[in-house]
Amino acid sequence: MSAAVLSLLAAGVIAAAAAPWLLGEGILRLLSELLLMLAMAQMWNLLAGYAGLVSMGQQVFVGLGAYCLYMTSISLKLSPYWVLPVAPFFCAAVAAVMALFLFRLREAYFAIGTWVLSEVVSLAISKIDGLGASAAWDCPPRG
Amino acid sequence: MSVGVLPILILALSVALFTTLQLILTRTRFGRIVRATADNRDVVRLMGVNPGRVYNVVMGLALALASVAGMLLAMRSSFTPYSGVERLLVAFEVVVLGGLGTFWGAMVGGIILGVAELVGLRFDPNAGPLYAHLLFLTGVLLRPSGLFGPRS
Repeated sequence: MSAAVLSLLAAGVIAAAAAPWLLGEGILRLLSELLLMLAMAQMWNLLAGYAGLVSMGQQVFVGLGAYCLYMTSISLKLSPYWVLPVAPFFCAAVAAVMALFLFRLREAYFAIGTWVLSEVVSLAISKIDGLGASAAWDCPPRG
Repeated sequence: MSVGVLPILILALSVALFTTLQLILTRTRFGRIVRATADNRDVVRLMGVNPGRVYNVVMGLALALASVAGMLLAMRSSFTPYSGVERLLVAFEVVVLGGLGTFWGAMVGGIILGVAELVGLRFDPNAGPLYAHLLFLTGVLLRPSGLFGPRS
């Protein structure tokens, strides 16, 4: 990487770190929404653009990440910030299990298979009372 | 037990459309061109067929069939702007379970998934299409290219 790119990257990191003190709550919220979209676009570009895996079921991992963060934060009585690293590993483990059979499918079969699997997970969660069934969760409690 | 006139009409209409489409695709010159274009559009172009035109006609035909589905849905139940997505996934599942581009696959896949959903709802009323989805996943795992697709 050239020096210009590195310094630009450093400036970006510093600006992001300083953002909570510089910007108001509304802008921060908008910004996190934007970054969330960016992360998801990147995820899909990596999958479909670079690897050629057209998946229609990536929403399942967004949901599992959210549920995982909430449930670990609640059950361990810790601040959500401390349990942040758990969700990616949990999702990776789920993905490893799903891959066992989803990778038997190709192209359209794969796309529909992933979509159906994510529907199954969301229907299953909506039937489990311990996970709140179909009720909406709020922001995790701060501890 | 009595059976309504509308469900019978819908069944008859869909079977008729199904059969007509299949006959068009397998028995007519147009159907042959469509299948050839799907296989290899460059070769078809050498034979004097404009693939773009074929795609236009196929698209029109597909959308006409979708509009029939919409009309029947509107006659039978209530609908909202979101009704499409709910049915779309099931339609995909039917075709994929049966095997893309197969006649009996779509027919049998549709019946299997429809019955699975109704039986599931009977035993577990708030399950939605959960059991149909699970059956679909099992079927696709056992036969990754569909029930009537080419054997791998």
